[in-house]
Amino acid sequence: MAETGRKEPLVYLQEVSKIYPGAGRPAVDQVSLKLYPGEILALLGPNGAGKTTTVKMTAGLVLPTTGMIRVLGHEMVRERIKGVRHIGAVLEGTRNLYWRLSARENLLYFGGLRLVPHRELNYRIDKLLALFDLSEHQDRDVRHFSRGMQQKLALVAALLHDPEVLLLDEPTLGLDVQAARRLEETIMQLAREQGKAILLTTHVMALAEKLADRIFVIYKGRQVAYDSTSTLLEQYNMERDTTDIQVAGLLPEALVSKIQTTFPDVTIMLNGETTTLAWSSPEQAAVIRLLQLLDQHRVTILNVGRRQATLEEVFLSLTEGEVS
Amino acid sequence: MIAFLRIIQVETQREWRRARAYLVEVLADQALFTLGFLLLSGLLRVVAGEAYDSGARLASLVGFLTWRVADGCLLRLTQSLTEDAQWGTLEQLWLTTVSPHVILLARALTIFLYFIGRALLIAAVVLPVLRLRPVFAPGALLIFMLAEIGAVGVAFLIAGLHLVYKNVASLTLAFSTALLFLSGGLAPLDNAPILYGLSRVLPLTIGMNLLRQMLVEGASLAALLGQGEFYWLLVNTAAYALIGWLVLEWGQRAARQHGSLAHY
Repeated sequence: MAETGRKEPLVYLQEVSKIYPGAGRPAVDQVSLKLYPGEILALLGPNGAGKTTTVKMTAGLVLPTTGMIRVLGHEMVRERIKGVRHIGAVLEGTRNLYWRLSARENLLYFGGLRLVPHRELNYRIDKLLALFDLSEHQDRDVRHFSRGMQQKLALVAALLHDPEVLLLDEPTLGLDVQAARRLEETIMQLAREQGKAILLTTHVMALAEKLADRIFVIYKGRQVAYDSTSTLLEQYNMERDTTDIQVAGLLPEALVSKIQTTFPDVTIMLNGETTTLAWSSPEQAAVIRLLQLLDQHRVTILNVGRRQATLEEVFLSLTEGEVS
Repeated sequence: MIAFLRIIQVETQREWRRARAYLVEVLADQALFTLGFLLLSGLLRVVAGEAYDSGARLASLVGFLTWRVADGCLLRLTQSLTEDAQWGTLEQLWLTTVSPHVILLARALTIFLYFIGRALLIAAVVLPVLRLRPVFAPGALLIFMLAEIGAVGVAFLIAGLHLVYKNVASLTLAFSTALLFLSGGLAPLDNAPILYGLSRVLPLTIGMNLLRQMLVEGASLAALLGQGEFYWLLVNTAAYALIGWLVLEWGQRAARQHGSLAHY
């Protein structure tokens, strides 16, 4: 998303806070962000960090305590109806549809409520059902759909009025690998080909790393990091690198115990037939000592190498840093 | 106005599809209310004897059907909001191009028309079975509408409370059933002074009394316009409609304040 700086943001949150009545601390604390056309912004955070509240405030479903939210220039407290015209949202997984109605009946209902003209609505329904491979299931009740199909149908319903902004709360939650991958491709297509601005929340770091142009990490309601995905990863990798030592088989318990005592920063991970010892920013001499220790115990070393950090490691580092 | 008609259209289609999906329950419900009235009518005949003549039975039927439409609106509107909260579709209603008030108004109107249809089906069975003949009085429609608008106001009031206090839905059935007796739905409460006083402020009582005057006793609308009772009905209806609307507005704002639109 190199060009985002030249465009006007479609969504703009300025120092937004939310304190739920009776709650001791803010659910969201002074959050500011911008979402540009064609951009995918991933909102990351552990459970209870304030992700869903932020998304729902953006949609006008939760009133902010302080701060300002604008969607295509419309202030979402005073001009909510004007703002939501530009928003499509899939919230809380599959709980967005009437299970006793068919797919088409659901779409006719929600398209009607969004006042999409009859002829255009039928055209759009046909087009979107075909795009999401749901055409042949359009007359089946939604309760008979798989979770992946329900998720796709919820996304179709959110796209009926062709909104500029899409809010997706945990879009791949509960989906199998194939369904999640197809949904990822669709999300990417909507941003890149149709220029939709997409704000998504997820716990799947690989999904965020793959899709998002920018990452917003929120922890206990506060902004922890907000930057492009590549910049976040680069910064992390400049500060530290990760050394992986891959060995054959499982390590004996006594050796594991000795490694944990002598090299407390080493993380030991089992990967099927092999074991990986991951070490963040180690000194070269220490790595050599560890290799000697492994050798003394006749452990077969398969590979030693440095690698780039994953978004998951960056995320854990950021949020654990907040905890400490 | 065109937008409102469109919303009514989609709400009607949704309600119709829902009724079709729950056809067995709808038919059982319809049979229950039809047979229920015949049974209650028979019991009153046993208790009151000859005093419960055809005029009294017709008066009961007028009250029962007026209550039944209001009862249907109250329960179904609350139930639909509960279902929407459970299915996550309630938040989607708040994400549409029109105000949720307009959607709920259209929904209430749709449910109202649906239950009028069902009340007429009850009448179509009960009138010939009990050999009752109401007076033909088109003006009764105005009185009926005024009485029911007050009841819809109560439905909005409950809906508004339900958005914030989710357990309100469970009280709706008790309230609605009590309304049948407390508003004199089956038999006028003229002989029970304490209940009579209370019934005067409830949404259906005055409308039922005026409807009975027209459909049972043959009074004309012009004659009713000369009565203070008619103006009390106007005040009663306006008060419930206004309070219902205000509570709904408060409820939806409070629900957004608490983030409880999707809670159930």
